[in-house]
Amino acid sequence: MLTLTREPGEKILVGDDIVITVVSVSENGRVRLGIEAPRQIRIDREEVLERIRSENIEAAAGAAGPSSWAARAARRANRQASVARADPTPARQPAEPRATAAAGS
Amino acid sequence: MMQLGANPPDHRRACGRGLRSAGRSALLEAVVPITLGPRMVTFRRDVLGWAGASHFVLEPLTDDADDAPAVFAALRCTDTVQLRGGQVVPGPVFLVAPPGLFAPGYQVPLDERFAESLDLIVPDDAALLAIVTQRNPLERSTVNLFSPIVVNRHTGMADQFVPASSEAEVGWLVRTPLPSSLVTEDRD
Repeated sequence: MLTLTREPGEKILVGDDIVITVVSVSENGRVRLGIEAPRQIRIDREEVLERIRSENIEAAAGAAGPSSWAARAARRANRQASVARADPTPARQPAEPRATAAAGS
Repeated sequence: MMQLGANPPDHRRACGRGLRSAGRSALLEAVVPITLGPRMVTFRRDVLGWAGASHFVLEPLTDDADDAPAVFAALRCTDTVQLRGGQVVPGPVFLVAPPGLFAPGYQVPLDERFAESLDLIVPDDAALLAIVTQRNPLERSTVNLFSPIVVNRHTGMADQFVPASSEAEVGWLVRTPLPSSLVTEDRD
């Protein structure tokens, strides 16, 4: 791994269009970085990404399992939605006819 | 750097402020995402944790006895994925539902960069889907409100939003407990 020593305000260039700026270093060792990059380049915190990744793996395992709960929960939620739609008080009309046709196809 | 297209920047910012559903209308709005125009959902990049999985079909979980639009849906991958050991297996299936179902008033502050990557101009361009993780026992099941799937309802392009901040800062959890009304009533 390449390691560089930088002072606050100094920059690192990665390729032609990525610029990393050391914004500040606090007394307790926290470093603030500014990153400029093309929009197709994703910039994420590693620990946040890892948490989502592991949850996605577990979620797919649960959905693939033999459970009828999801279908029951879905039916119940659908019923609640129907009741809400039948109520004339909402300010705006939901679910245009096209959408209903799509759901039934 | 960010490039703004032909659309006025204030529209971009309106989207960046967040996609919201509030109070009573939450469940009504919640119905909409499952009846998206395009039923094919294509992720801009592989779904996190599933290398090779980017093409999905959204299958509403409808009740035969009730022709109401579904709220829950299965998001089924049509790609095969390769595990680390080299084994090729079918792609993942996720149970998804609109986040407003679990948290009335839910909104997520999409950043401009993310909104632009999916060509979202105004909040109505986007549909939100939250991934449910079923566990045994069911009371331990959770829903990911921290990192929802965002779909451009016109194009079917999607991505899972990854906030730049922590769960504490955002206020939504990766593992949000499900409302008891969803997990206790029909229990076996």
